[in-house]
Amino acid sequence: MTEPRRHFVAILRDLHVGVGLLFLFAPLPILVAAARGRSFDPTDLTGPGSIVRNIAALFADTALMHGLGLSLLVGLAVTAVTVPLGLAGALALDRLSPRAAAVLFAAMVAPLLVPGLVVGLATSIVWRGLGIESGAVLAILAQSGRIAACTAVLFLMRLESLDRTLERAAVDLGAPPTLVLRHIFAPHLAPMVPIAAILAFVLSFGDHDATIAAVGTDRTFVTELSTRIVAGPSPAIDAAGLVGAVPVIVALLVVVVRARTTRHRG
Amino acid sequence: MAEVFRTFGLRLGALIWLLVGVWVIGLVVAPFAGLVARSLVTIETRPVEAGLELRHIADDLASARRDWERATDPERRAELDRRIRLLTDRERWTMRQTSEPSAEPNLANYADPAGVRSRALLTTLGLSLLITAVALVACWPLAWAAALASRRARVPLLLVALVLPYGLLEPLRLHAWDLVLSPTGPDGLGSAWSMLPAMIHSGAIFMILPIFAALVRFDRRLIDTARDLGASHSRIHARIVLPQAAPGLAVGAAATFLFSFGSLAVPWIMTHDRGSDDFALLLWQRVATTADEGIAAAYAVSATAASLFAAVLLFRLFGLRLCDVTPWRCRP
Amino acid sequence: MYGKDVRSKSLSVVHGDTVALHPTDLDIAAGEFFSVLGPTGAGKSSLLRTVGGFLAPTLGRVMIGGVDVTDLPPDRRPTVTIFSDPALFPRMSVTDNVAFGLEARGVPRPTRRARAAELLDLVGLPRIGDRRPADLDAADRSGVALARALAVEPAVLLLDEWLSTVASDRRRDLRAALNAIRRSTGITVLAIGDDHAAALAHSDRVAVMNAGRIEQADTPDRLYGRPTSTFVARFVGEQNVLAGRIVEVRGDRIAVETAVGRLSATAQGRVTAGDVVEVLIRPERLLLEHDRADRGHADVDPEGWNRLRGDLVGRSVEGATIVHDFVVADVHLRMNRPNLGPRELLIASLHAIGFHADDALAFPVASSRGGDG
Repeated sequence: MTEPRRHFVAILRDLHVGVGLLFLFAPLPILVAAARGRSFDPTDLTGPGSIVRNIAALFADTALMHGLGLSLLVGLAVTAVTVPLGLAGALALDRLSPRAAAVLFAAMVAPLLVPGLVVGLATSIVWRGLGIESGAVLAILAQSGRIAACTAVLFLMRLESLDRTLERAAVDLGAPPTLVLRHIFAPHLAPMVPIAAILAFVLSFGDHDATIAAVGTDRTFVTELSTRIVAGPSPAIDAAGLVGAVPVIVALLVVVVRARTTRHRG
Repeated sequence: MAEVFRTFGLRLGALIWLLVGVWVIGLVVAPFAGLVARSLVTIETRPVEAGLELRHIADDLASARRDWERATDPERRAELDRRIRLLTDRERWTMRQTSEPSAEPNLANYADPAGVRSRALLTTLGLSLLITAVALVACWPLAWAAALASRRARVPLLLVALVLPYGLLEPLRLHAWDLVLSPTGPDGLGSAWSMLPAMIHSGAIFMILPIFAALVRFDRRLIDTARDLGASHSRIHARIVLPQAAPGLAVGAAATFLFSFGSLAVPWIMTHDRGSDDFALLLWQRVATTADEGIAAAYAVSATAASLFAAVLLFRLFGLRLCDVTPWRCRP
Repeated sequence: MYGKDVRSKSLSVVHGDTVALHPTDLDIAAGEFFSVLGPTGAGKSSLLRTVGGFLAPTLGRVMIGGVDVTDLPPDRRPTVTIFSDPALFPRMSVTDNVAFGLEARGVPRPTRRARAAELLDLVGLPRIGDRRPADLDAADRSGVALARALAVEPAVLLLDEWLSTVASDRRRDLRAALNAIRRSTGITVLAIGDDHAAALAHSDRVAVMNAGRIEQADTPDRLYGRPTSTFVARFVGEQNVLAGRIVEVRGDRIAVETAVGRLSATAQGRVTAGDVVEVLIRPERLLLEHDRADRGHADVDPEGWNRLRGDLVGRSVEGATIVHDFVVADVHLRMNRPNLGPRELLIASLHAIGFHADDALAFPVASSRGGDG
């Protein structure tokens, strides 16, 4: 529905949105500018000040690359753990009475309600006391509690749109549980699995507080990066900033182009 | 409980309950119980010889850490990491050999003679409330605009645009803010204020997403009808839009508050580990400097208690029940 | 009495290449109940929304009570629109919903709550003030929407299929309430909907729209009895259609050669011998010979009477009417007779039926717009 006249408030809101977007995207140009200003000479392509050189150096940085490998490993493991957990949790919650479901849901969500640092610390204290010293395993344990809750919520949202009459009809026709699962629940939840997996991986890769408390000196990419930043600026950080900013800038351009074309078409 | 077996069969039902059990016990109850237990145990060192030994190790550790900060070469860093790990292990082993856990659980770890902890706790709580309030006002129009825009398009472009900045890793985002805000001073009050924009930046998504979720199914015709009846924009917002968004606002506020309160990355990076006002940062500094996990555990338990208490309070403030924020509907 | 007249001049809505509404001149008198009928996509919604202020016209002006409101948003027009799924505010009680318009005008709380209670009584929903919209059924919701609209005393009430989700028995109650309100307040009503019978029964005038144009806007009687095109004729009621060629023209009366024989019909529009026409006869105007005698038609204008013999092939009782299906020379004709009791006709027997030329409207085929409907 359109209105004959544009309202003042709408203009104000658009302004607010514009400023908000500028604020949110501000780090991108800052990182690019810092990289150029401090360490890189854009006109220098092969010398010591060149961007190419420094990004290459980034890839040669063993600590960061080791961290990257660890992050990927932990990410895959966490995904493999939390997607089944979240699925099981969602299915269990779906079948419980409202009161029991509330209790179970509170237990599942509790790790999200406390600081990630606390979760990481608790994991470290308890499991290291039981003999597990590997930073990677501890990081997986620390992250999984929180991320499994997120995947469970995704699956619960998906379950909400499941037509319950289908289930009733199937049972009425005498379908055994495996068939019910295969023909009703699985197809409905299946599309959510890749989304949950991607979410789990992204959350795991970017997790900072829980990971840093659990992983010790065996740092992941994100924690290695933050440790270095705390210690002070360096060319490696600038290179990392540039490498991290570019994909986001590209994605932003794609979104802007999409927005323009849909507006013209609609 | 039996319903699970009835729907999914014996084997699958057992698997589901096994997974849920492993999750709740292994990832939630056990770690937290262990944390509380550990916080109640104080370490008493046997005098003199042990103290001296431990002090040597502590000095070595401190100098190794300083060297690490100064080192720029990754090889050197890796080497220092190994040394720090060795020293930490030795410290722990020495402590185990020369000290005893207290026979009975006690609250000594929670003692706060200098009031440092309490002050940091209160400061952080206050800062988090402030950040939540600012984020609420700042993010509300963003989420509202994104919800409106998502009606026409199949892909909610504005929402994607609001989420995209978080594709940049958090340390890098904070580093950018640090570059911009560091002139205001690395310590004390300067840091607290420099943390504000960074905290809002990192926490905005926790406010935007829940509000968006609450508003996305909002019936636009409600606004048209209200306009038709002669209501002004402010009245429409107050009487129609806000009540609809209320659950989202509550969840957003709670999530933003919990994030601000518990975030380590923001104060750690923004103050370069030199700040002393933020509770999470304080906790981390204790973890890094003492081998007695008990004290750190006590900090952590206090943080947890404060977090949960604040979360419940915020919920009650907005008049919400747990079922209002669960993905399944409330039964009246 | 606060109803106002609604006029439009060359009101037109164009979306890119499609014309949703061709330039339309409306002339609705104050206090009139004006319905708009038409198939989907005929332009009814576009018309209603431009009057209500929810759609900006591409061309033309809208005047309400003599005031040009074309550039005014809905809140500044003296109109209120009620939609088929009335958007009641979900988190307010029914009373607050009804009182909302008054709240927006700054009426103090006790006054507006009292007024809301009055209005709810008026629409026949006296005890639901404290309930929430989600607890109500469709009929109650429409009633509340009506009360809410009346609270602001609009000069024009716009109804967009407002009873389409309501069960038929409840519709009667709501319509009765609306009519009572119209009598006491003089409010003008512009309604679009798909319930033809109700529109024809309750409206002062009805407009039939097709492909963005108003084909005919007239009283229900004239629409029914004097349609200006086959589209209108077939739209407002069932018709028997016979194609034929004119063999003789005598003023208004023409003779048409059709599959069932030579018929005497009344021409609609200018015709000449040789023209192809469609002859439309209403099912209730098709009579049995002995009904004709009963109704006293026997002596009136015997020349205009068309006599046929048809096989009765089917019969179904539809409440107050019985539908009879006849076959005359391979052509199906339908007859609606009032259900007068046990006098049954035998199926598969031949009957003498007929109709009068005055009831046989012949439209030249070139003028039958909209094609087969």
